[in-house]
Amino acid sequence: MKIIKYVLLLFLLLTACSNETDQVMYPSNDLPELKQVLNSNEAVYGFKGIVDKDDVLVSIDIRRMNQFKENKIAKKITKQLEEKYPDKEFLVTNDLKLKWEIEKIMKQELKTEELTKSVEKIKSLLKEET
Amino acid sequence: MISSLITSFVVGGLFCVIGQILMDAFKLTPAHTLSTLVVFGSILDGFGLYEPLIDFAGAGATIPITSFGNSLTHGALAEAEKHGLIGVITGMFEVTSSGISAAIIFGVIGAFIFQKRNTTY
Amino acid sequence: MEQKQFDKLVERQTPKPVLFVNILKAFLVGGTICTIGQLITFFYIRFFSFTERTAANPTVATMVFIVMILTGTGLYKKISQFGGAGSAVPVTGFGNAVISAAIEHKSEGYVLGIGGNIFKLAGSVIVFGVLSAFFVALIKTILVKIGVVSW
Repeated sequence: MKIIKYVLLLFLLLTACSNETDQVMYPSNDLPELKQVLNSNEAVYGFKGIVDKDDVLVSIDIRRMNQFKENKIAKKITKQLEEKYPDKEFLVTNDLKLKWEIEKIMKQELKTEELTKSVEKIKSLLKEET
Repeated sequence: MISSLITSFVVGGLFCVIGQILMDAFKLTPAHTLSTLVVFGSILDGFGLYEPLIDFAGAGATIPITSFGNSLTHGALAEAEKHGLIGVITGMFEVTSSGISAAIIFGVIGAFIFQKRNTTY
Repeated sequence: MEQKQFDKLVERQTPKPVLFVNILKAFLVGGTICTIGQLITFFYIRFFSFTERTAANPTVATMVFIVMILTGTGLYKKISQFGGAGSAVPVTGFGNAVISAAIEHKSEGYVLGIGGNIFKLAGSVIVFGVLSAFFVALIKTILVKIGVVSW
């Protein structure tokens, strides 16, 4: 009886921690081809993005088994996106830090200057090697 | 997130199982086992296989001692790509420091704080 | 008693390690240590400015700090007796070897005792790590220069 109780509790806990697989862009969805490109890649099941003038940061969610090739997938998607929108600079990555930073920005609803500052900070963070 | 914890548990456990087999079946001492595993991690990075493993397993691949061999080789290769053959020597400890530095620093601090016990460690 | 008889007697008396149980214990202990490391990594990514790539450094440093406390209080000895390779293979085993050597040789002084003996086990790890990194990188660089493989 006790074992069943604990298993049910564990199950509840696990379902509560499931990833939300949404596909949102911030501030607005004025890059319609982006969703197309990302959906055409079956390894990607969700993404969150930020558009700030010419910088676009996209954090993609890759399926666990495909994570061995996550760098190659990110590079391929970057190339595809740059072909569709040649005047914008894309940064596509699977990194959890980008996802959480994007969620923070979306929650705080930053605009213009603060948004640009945050985007610059995130870009320099992601370029670090050590 | 939960799947990250599970994969790090499994991959980390597997590295330790390899170490245990080396110690029990091949009768290697701990020093021999760890040295073998470091060389193993270094060779894996030579084939470009260790970084994808870190992408997959997270801490399950960065905590075992094999990641030490990987980061030494990774630094050497990254520097050799930029500066040619001499980069093999100059680049080795560029991305590797926290393990050794932390061990030395906390070793001396630990020696300062703690007393020696009569039983072996 | 002849040598062969004596050897047989010794063979019978020495406790044989039960391989499967040891493997299971090593898997559990090693996996637990790495899972704790993963949680620490998530902590550093969330609350500090580390990315997934750079968070391995503070994680390893934190784990060695924890090992210092465990080694000094004698708890790590119990974990290593149970876990075998599960406690020696992760970086915590490396840290434990360095820290316990430092504590043990403190009585001989800091320069000669600690400084001279701190790398008793860790030394071979570092030496062979550097050597293998050198040869692997050398071979790969030469192969790239010839044109057999690409970076």
